[in-house]
Amino acid sequence: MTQEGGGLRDEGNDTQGQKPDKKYGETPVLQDIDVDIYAGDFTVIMGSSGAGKSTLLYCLSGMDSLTGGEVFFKNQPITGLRERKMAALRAKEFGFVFQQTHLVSNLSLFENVAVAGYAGKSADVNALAHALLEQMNVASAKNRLPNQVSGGEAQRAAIARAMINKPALLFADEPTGALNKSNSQEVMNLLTGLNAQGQSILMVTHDLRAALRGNRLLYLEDGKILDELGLPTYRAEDEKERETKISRWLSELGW
Amino acid sequence: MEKRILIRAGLKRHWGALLGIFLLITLTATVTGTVLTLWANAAHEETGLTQAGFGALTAWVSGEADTESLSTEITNLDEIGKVETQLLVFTNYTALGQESDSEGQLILYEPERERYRFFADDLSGYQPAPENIRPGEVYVSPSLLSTFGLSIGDEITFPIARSGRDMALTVAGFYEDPVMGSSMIGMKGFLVCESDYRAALNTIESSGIDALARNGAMLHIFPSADLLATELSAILNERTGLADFTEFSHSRKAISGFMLVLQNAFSALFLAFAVVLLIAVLVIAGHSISATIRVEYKNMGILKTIGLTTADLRMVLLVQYGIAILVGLVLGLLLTVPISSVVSAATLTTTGLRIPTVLPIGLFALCFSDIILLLGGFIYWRAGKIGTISPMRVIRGEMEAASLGSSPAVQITEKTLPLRLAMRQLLTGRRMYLGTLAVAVLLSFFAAMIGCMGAWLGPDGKGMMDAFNPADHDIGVQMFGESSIKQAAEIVR
Repeated sequence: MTQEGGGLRDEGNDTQGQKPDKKYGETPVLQDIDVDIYAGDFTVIMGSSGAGKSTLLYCLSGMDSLTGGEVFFKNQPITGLRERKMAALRAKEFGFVFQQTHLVSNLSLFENVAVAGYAGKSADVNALAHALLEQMNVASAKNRLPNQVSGGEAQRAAIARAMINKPALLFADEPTGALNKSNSQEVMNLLTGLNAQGQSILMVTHDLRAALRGNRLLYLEDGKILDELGLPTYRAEDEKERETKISRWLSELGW
Repeated sequence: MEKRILIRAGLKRHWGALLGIFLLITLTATVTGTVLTLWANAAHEETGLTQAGFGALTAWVSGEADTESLSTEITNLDEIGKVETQLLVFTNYTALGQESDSEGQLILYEPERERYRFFADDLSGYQPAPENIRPGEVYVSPSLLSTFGLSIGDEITFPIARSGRDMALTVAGFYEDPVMGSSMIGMKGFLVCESDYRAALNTIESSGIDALARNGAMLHIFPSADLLATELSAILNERTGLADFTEFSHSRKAISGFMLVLQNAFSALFLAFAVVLLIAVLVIAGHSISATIRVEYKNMGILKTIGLTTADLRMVLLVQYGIAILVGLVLGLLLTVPISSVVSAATLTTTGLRIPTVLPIGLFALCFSDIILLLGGFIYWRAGKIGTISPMRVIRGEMEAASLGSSPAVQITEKTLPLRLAMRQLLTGRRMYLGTLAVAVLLSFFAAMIGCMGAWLGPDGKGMMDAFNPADHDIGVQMFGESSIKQAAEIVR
């Protein structure tokens, strides 16, 4: 296990997976995993295709069901919560950004953000939604439907939606997977900026350029965490050095 | 607030389906409201009977009856409160060249008694009762408009005695007859002035055996105790001489029932139509909800990822459909007012009654709250499918497979490809097609029922009337004296 920049962590952990076990039929997808996600971290899960990265993310967020083990959030078990409690958790504590933007197709970008705000019972939702869309640089398209904007604009609106309730943890599943290079860069800049403001992020990616932004990298192989890499907070001027370090780490792991 | 945004977006997106539901509900509410209005105002007939002076039982007597002593004899019974007499003359009549197949009654008009309501000449409403009917004039039921084509100024001839001793009277207007007003009833009442009534009596008296008409009276009997019509009839037959002079007698209930036969038949028919429409609404709403959930599967899954629950989304769907249903109900109820008036006016010449169109608010509240509960419960139940939407399936893009259900058994081959594709489509949407078929069958059944009903009733309900009227048989025989039924049958053969 490689560890650098340990001073980034808060006192406790936000989310803890105690041997979350997941099988599809008889095929194990996750096994023997004990993982803590710390507040304030930009945690990145990497691994080859089919390693179980997204499954781990969705199991930790309570979105996907487990076949064994348990997941804790703020020391409370969230495994097997009833729908209403899980919905409250999703609305208030978790934010999600997906590879496909998954915006509601018949709502404008603004409405997509506002609905999430109202579901999370946030105060002053309209002003907050306007401010977030402004911050994500999509205010000019706020009244358009998702199919009337570019993929980058839609993904930025999706980040605004995920952020409106000031979640304790932002889950991002391949957020740049469906974007071109410039849009990917823009989205990653936004996520990095949010993390710099204290937002905890757990991101799954197979994109090295995206993984550079994390301060804690987990490598998953066949449903097991093989290794972990700690890094200092991202700074653009250190990008080359981080890239070399991560590349070396990954090649050691056989990526 | 989030629900308001979703409801607004849903209304915008699914307006076509919701418009269909709205139109069906409007039609259902209009039909139901109209039927309930007319049905609830049937008490108008009862009011009319009371105003006309009818008791629990009315006996029509004729011939040599001394109505005064008969009344006294009946009134002396402990069970009887009072007896009122209304004088008349039984006579046939001919109008516009058509001879009536049932007898009419020339009824003495007593303006001071205010027994009847009189229609305006154009039948658009009521007008004050005339102070007197002029000699040579007669007031009739508006049902004679439909059965004989009579109008004001036409002449009716009453053959009082042989050798052409007829009485010709001119129609001066129409009155509401709560006893014989319906076109279902062949017997008709004609209001005449005292001088014409006396003239008819004199003709009868002076004609002796040549008299075709006969004098008579209605004895309105009011019991002092609460008795069944059969009990009352039995008492009168056993303890008075009424039976010797009675042509026929009817209880108030029987009169009112017969007067309202047409109204009740049409009410039942349209109530059945309303039920069919309601079933159609349920079937169509069921398919529409399933289709909406299929179309919105992905969006609903996404909404669950941001914290909305199944109950929230069910409520959104319920409100969307609820708006279409409530607006349809309100519009339907508003339409009830003019439609009821039109129906009331249109049936006036058939029922002989101008049925009021006062909205029965309590009945409406009861009936429509039941409809709302039924539809609301049904929609909420059908929207339960939302519970099967899994956010994970949506994220993984598995929603199409999940929402389409089991795959059809028809294999796709090059041979007869269009037929096989059509069969797959049919099997995939089998529930929807079966529902549509059920609605089509119900509506066709209703249309066929209207056709049968129309044929059975005949023009102006004459078919139904003939079915009950022995006078319309090919031959009718009434035996007098000691002859038995067997002897009578032999004579006819």
